[in-house]
Amino acid sequence: MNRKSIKLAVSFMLIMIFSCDEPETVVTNIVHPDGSVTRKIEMKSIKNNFEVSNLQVPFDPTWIVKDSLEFTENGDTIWVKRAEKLFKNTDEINGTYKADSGANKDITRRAEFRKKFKWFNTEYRYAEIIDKKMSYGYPITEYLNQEELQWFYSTEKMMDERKNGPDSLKFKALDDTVSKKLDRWYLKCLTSEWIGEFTRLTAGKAGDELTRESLTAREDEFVDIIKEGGDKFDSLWTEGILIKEFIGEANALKYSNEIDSADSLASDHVLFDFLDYTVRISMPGELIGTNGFIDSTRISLWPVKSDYFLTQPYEMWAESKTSNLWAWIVSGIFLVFVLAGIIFRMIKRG
Amino acid sequence: MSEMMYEEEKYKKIINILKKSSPALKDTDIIEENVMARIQHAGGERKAFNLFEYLFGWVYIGWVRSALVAASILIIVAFGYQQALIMKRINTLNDRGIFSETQMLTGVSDEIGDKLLLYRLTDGKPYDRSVKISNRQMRRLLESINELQLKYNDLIRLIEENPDLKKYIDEKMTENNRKKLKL
Repeated sequence: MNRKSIKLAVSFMLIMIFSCDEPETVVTNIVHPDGSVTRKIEMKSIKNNFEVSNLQVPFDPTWIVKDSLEFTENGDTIWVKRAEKLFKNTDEINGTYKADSGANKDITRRAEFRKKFKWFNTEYRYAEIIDKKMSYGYPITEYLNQEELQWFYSTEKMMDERKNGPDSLKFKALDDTVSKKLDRWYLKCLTSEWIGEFTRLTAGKAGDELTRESLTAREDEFVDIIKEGGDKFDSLWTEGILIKEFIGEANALKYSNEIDSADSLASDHVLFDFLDYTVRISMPGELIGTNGFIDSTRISLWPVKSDYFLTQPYEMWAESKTSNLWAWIVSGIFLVFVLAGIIFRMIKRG
Repeated sequence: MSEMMYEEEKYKKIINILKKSSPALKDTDIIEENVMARIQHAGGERKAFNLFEYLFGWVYIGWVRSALVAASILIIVAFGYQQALIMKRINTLNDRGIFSETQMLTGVSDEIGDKLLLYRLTDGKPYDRSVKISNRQMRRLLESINELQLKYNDLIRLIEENPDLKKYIDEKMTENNRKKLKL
């Protein structure tokens, strides 16, 4: 790897590239009380191309598949592949995540199921977790306020509807603000990641001016250098001018190998292959908590985008409960028995 | 004196005669029945009394009585706390926005399929309580969908088996998509 990789990472962050050929995928997890999960995948594409390497979630021939052609509300035809499989437990799902060779194989995902008996009720918790990619990045909560965070975690459809709805100006302005803050956040995270990796590689070798603390203190300065570079970023980075300006010419020459390795590691943590998709969870019994969106059938929904798990693990969880009717009856009988005993005693005492 | 002795001897003789002649019982069967009935009745009363004593004997033992009353209070408190906590969480969820699937996702959706699956999983009780639909109506809907599915599969099979037809449909669809793109 060379210094071009960090350039690519920055370019990727500053100019978001979207592909239109990727299938739009929705994964629905129907969780059963015994911990088994019926997993349904719905993939839609304008092309009949559903190669495993193009798919966002693990999929293999053991699934029950149904292919169809459908018409959108605009009259366009789309190819739809629906697949369904019953997993005995989350270990089986995690096994497929580990063996995944699809489009999102670079990320670490897992599912968790927990069942808690609480006498009157039994509570269930199901979560899909994506581990964070960066080791030294900043949480997004430090950059966006509550309203901006809500916007950040919305689905594309919701954003589009709001931007074209009655308060379009307000939401367009909000979108612009969030985009600008995100640009700054990307650069800060990338810089922090580079500093983290560079100082790890030069630990014990470099002087006091190259410790993590001293470089982190100058992080904003480095971000500004990158931003000032603007269109000339490519040449400035390739020629090593930016890095020389940041850590000094002598250090840049002395630690050229470490700089290249840090570039490579930082860009690997930022520039990874990922296709967005949507996760839905249907819980047994009554839904009592979730951190996702809820639809009219009480199914929770989360969009999954690469930004969500750059610096923090992305946990999509839902909790529900079922009432234990037998426990209610047993408790009722016990209370009646004790009450009858007390009345009996009062009668006997006259 | 001799007269007195004579009277006493006469008295003793009468006593001896009376002692030797035991009274003859009449209707002994009735007496036996009465006695047995009384015994049985008295036994029954004792049995009923013992059952209550047996069931509620613990009320006379101080520490058992206190423990059971404490357990009852604990159950009531635990129930109240648990239900209050759940109600609070459900209310928090209700205060958040509820979206329809079409508000969150683009393109067509398999919503009816999901709803039917949920219907089957919840033993025929639709989750959304605002939906009023009878079992008969749901059965008919399921039958219609199954029938439609079969017809659709037949159609797909027919297209797959006939290369000319498949080619024609592919061309038409591509043409249709192009028109949409131009628009």
